[in-house]
Order: sequence, then C-alpha cells, then structure tokens
Amino acid sequence: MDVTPRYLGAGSFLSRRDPRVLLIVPVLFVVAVAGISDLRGMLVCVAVAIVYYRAAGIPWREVRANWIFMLTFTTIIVLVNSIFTAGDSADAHGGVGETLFTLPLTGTVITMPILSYSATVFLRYVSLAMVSFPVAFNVAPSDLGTAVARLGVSQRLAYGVDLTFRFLPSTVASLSETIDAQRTRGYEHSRSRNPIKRLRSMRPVVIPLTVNALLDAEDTANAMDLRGFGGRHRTWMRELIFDRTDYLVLLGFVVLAALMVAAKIAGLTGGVWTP
Amino acid sequence: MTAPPTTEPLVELRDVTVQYASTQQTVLDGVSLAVRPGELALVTGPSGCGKSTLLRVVNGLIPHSYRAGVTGEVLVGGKPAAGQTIRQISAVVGTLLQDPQRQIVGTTVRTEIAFGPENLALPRDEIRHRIDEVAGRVGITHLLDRATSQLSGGELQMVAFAGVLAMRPSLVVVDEPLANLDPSASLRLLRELRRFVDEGGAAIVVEHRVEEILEFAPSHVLLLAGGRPVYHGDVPGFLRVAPVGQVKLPFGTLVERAAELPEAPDRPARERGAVRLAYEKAALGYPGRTVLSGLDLGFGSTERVAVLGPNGAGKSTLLRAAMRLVEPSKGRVLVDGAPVAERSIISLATTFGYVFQNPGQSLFSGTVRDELAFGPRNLKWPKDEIEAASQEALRAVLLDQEPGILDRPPRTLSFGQQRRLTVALALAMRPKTLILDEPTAGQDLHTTSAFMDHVLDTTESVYFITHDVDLALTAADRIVVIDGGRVAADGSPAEIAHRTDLWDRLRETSLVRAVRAELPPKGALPHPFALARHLQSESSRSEISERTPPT
Repeated sequence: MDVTPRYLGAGSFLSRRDPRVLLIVPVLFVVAVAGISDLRGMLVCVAVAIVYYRAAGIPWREVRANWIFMLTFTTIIVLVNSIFTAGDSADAHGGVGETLFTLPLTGTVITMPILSYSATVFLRYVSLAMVSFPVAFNVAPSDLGTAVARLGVSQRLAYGVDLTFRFLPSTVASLSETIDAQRTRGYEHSRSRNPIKRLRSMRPVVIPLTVNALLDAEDTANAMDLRGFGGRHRTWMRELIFDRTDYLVLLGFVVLAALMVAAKIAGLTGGVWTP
Repeated sequence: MTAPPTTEPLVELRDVTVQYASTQQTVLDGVSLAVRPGELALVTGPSGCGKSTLLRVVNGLIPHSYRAGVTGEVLVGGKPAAGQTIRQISAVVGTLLQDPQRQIVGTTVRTEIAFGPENLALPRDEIRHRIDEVAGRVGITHLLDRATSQLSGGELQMVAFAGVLAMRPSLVVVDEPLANLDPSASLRLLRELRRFVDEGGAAIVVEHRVEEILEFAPSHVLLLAGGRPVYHGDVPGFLRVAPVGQVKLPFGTLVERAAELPEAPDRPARERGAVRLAYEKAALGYPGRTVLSGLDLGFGSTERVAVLGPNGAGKSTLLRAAMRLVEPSKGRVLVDGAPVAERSIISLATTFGYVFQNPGQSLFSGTVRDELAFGPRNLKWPKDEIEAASQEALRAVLLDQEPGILDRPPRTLSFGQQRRLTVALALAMRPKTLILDEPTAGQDLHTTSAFMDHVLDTTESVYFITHDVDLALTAADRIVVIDGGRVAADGSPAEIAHRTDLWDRLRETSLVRAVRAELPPKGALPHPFALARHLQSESSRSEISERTPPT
C-alpha cells in the first residue's frame, strides 16, 4: 500500500498560493458554514466551495476513491442522523411541516423541513471536504511544517507535522511486515462482531508495531539532537511570502465568513428553509 | 601509516569510564583515544564491547541524553564536553547512525540536507549553497527533489552523510556502516569518508567487520573487549593481537595466525533429498511490479541453501512465496509436490518455519511461554503438546538453560537471545524446513557463528537469505544467487566462488579469492578456519623443503 503523501495539483491556481492560505481557508469556511441551517445559504457556500475546489486542479481519477469513501461515509451519517434525530434537529431550528411519509421499522416521521435540514447537513460536510482536499493534495509535503510554523505554532510541533509525513510510509511498511511475521505463526484478523474480541485479536500486530515505533523514535530524537535541533533560533529554508492574490483569496473567505455570521445573527440563515 | 600528527586533537578521551545509571553497569573502563585532523580511527571489538557507548561519549549523547556517570576527561574541540551542549558539540562532531532510515527526518532529499544548517539558523542563501555543495560532493544532485521515502538503503545512507556534511563538522563518527544491507553502498560511503579525511577532516568508524575497513587505511585501531581497551595502535600491530574468532579479519591474517584459530565445526555436505519447494516458470512480485520472473528452481528437503544477491534483488520475495506471503503472478510454486495455492498459511507453518530479520516484529506476549504457545495454539494443538513443543524448541536454540526463561517477558532478553527465541517460535510449530531472512545482519563473527551452529541442524533443511558472502560459503551446501530479476547462478559454494562474472555485483571477500586460488571449483568447502590451518601447514612444509638442500 502506497501511503506516500500525494502532491496532485501541481501548477494549479491553488498550488501557486502560499500554503498558509490553504490552511487558513478551511478554518474560515468552517466559521461560515457552522451556523447555517437554511439550505439556500448553504447553496451559496457550496457554490464558493466548488469554485475553490476547481481552482485546485486535482485530477478526478486520482481522488475518485477518496470522494467515494467521503460521500458514502457522509451519506450514512446524514441518513442515520435523519432517521434517529432529524426531527428533533429540524424542530430545534424552527422547521415544522406536514408529514410526507413514515419510515418503516423506526417509525420516523419525515417532513419537508427534515429533508431540507438533512440536505443542508449533507452539503455542509461535502463543501467542507471540497475546501479541505487542497490541504492534502495541493500543499507540497515539504512545505507543510514550514507553513504550520509560520502560522505561529512552535517549531517542535511544526516539525512534528513534517515527521508524520516522513514516517507514515515506513510505519505502514512496518505494519505490513509485522502482519506477515504473525501470519506465518497462524495469525488471522478476527471476524468476530464483538468489538472487544476484535481489539484483543489485534494485539499480535499492534504491540510489536508500537514498541518498535517507540524504539525507532528514540534513535530519531537522538539524530535530531545531534544535528542541533531545538535551539531558540531556526531558519526555515522555504521562504513563505503572501502575495496580492493570496490576500485577495483570504479576503474573499473572510468576507464570506463575516456575511454568513452576520446573516445568522440577523436570523436569515439560522432556521430550516421549507420550500 | 601517516606521519605523527602535530595538530591538536579534535576529540580526546583520557582514561574514560562510563557507568549507565539505569543498570549500574560499567560499559567503558579506562579508555583513551585522540583523533586529529587527517586521521581515520577504527574502533572495533565483539558485540557488547562498548563501541556504541564510546560513540555516544564522543558525540555528547552521554551524558546529555543518556543518564550515565562519566569519569576521566572528554575533550571536544579542545574544550570539556560536559560543559558543552549537544548542539555545540554537533558543530564539531557529525554523527552517522547505523540505520539511515531512522536518521533521516526530511520528506525530500533537499529538506533533509537543509535540516542541520536550518537548526544552526544560517541564512537561506548559505543553506542553499551548502545543499548544492554537499550534494555535488557525494554525487546525489540528481536525487535532491526526490521523496526520501522512495530511496533505496544505499541512497539513504549517502543522503544521511550529506546531511551530516552540510553542518561542516571537523570530525564524523560512523556507527557500523557495514551493518546496512547494501554492502556496495556502504563501501561507497566509506570511500567518501576517506576523501573527507584526506581533505583535512577526521573520522571515527565503529565496526566489527574489520576486513572491509582495513581497505580504507585507518590511522589507528582501538580494540575493546568488555568495555576495556585491549589494543590501541597501528594496523599491523592490531592484526597480530585481534581475537581471531570474534571480529572479521582478512583471510591472510587467519592463515598467519592459524595456530590460534578455534576448532571449526564439522559440517559435512548434505544430499539434496526430494524437492520440497519448487518454482515452475514462476513470476513473483507485488501489484504493478514483477520482481522475479522465469523462475525454474527446486530446493531439496535435506539441504542447506543460501540465497545471495544485492539489496533489492528479490531474495525475500523468492522465499516468501513458500509461505504465500507473495503469490505468483505467472507459473506455479509447489510445496512437497502440491501447488502452494491449495494450502493455507497456517498449514504451511508446519512445513516451513519462517524467521523474519527483526525479532521485534514477532514479540508481543507477556511471557516467553505465551509467545511460544501462540503458533501451536493457532494450530489447535492440545495443551500438553504445546508445552512439549515449546520445551523442544527452547532446547534446540539452547535457551532452555536460561533461569526462569519461560516466565520472562521476551523483550527483556538480549538481542541475540531474542533472535534465537524467534527461531524457537518457528520451531515450536515443528516445521520440516527453516527459512531465515538475513539471520545475522549486524552481528559480529562470534555471534554469527554461534547462532548458525545452533540453527543449521534443528530441522531437515534450512534456506537462508543473506548478503554476507562468507556466511553463504561457510554455512551452505548450495548457493542460489539472485540478481537482475532472475536466478543469476546456482551451485555449490566452490562453484560460486569460481564464477568470476558474479563478483562485480557481489562483494568479493578475501575468503572468496582464497577459495578460488587454493581449491578446485567442485566439491565441498572446508570451514575457513580449517582451510587457513591447511594453507598454513602447506606453506610451512614448502618453507622447510626450500630450506632442505636436495640430496
């Protein structure tokens, strides 16, 4: 399994941006969509997210599997949410409507406000994924630590981000090797439905993997100390400078977040919209 | 040897003793060493002699990172090391660890080389200049934008060295450069290290494989045993006193000191027997990548086979197919005449005991008893049988004499014992054949010999993967050489030693040259110690006959 971080959007509008822009935009977008219960308001944000995602230039075939996983997971979450709690949630957001139909088995009453609210939640997750994918695929792995450090995070934490990407492939290789070593002794992953049994059955793989990772980490920490890491001053070779376009992109999302928060406070997007 | 140096030492140890706080064990005792610019010092000795501790003293990890009591004087750059931080010491002493995989922290080669200079807070232009300079120097400019996760072991070693050089240290310490599984890459590294020394730098190499290091003309050798200095002086003097059965010496030295050699184990060559593992027109590999193709090969049920080849050639891939850890994409793999695809991995475990290189990948239980029982329990054996099989397995690897071994946590055993325990884990499932993946990597000669002596007769047959040419010649009845995605050679050790075309890609040792020069290309090889004794007595006889006037 190849888990090497993938840099897919080379040359696109977003890949030419300062990586800090790509880290800040999802935060601003969360602020924008967090309080929206009105489907129309959410559709405005989705339109912005689509434009942003298109600017990332991520080839569809490369991320098809990621999107299928994301959409499946989101659909399940939203459906379960609708079946068990959607009525309460929609009611809480002021949506009351006539019964369209009743779900068999659970007896959940489905109304137009519930459908509208579920669509809003679904689109919230999908649009968040759209603005977050560029963080994974448009920031060069070697830039991520620098970008995090230049956002004011301590250099140890920022370098931790770099190390995560550095050691992900070797940890996965070690996992595969450990599984093979245990399979030769008859290890098979439990197919039991009991989660505790399943967890216990993973011990032969999880324990060696964790112990080896800790031992390796000691060597890596020594290697970093021996190359002078941890001093007060450090140069990050990658120079990051916001240009005018970076500022404009950020300004656009600041405005979007401000408008959506203002709309929520003004009571324009806080309630469920019933067509 | 170089002329007596007049400059001040870059690193000096005066009567240094080290005791770790955690174990209260004295691991270095009265050691002195001085290394000046232009000197390459070799520190050697058997496993556990204190080599790694000495290295930690030099680079400041002791006492700054490891809690240990240090007496005597340690001077780095002429100043006491105890009064300097690791960061300050790192400006003088660069360190290359044994496993470059753990040393490299950058996601790309460029960011990896930049790491040290960035920590020194150098200006960006200076960092870029140093990256280009060291990359050009060690020949890795073409790798600068590659992800470090995609590099081979040899490339990683050169990148790690470039990362150290970018900090412009005066002295570089290198921990067991030959423990890396790519011998040709390790030798490339040593050539670069020699150049660094010739251009005014200095180096300390810690290594027990002395033969290879001697090619790089060390200025002086420090031999340690049990933490104490046994010898410190020039190479000829070292070769006269080095423990012949403990560190790997040139074969010529073994001949000269034949009288001191320990008894060699008597290991008569075995017949091949019926075919246990067969490959029929097989291709092996991983999704999207064929590693080996056109394999037509059989391994006998009673022979000892070494699988030799350069790093990444596919040695492990070949033998993993026996356990279905790799499936053939073409052709067939047969075990005892039946397609392996018809067997489950668990049923194959009673035919093959597969031992991985790193013991840490197998050990997870709280006690040795539970660890041994894991495999047999998966085979659904009754409790009594599990107990008996565990005892047999421990006896076979001579671990049964360890007091309270069954109740000890496996991780508290020494590394050598852990290695033997992993063999016992395989033996506990009563396999007919043992498969060992790099069984002795990084081990000294004594440990290697003792380990192989234990395991070679525990099952009907043993197939082992190694990059150690001398081990293959010494321990196997037959050698299969894998290279270029195919079987490059298959024959007895004598035949393989005489195949001169193979030795461009493999490491030709002094033993290989001696076998080629002194023995016919067929028949069984004597143990190197027996061969050395034989050659020594031949040479004595010829000397006597030269001195005796003809009648």
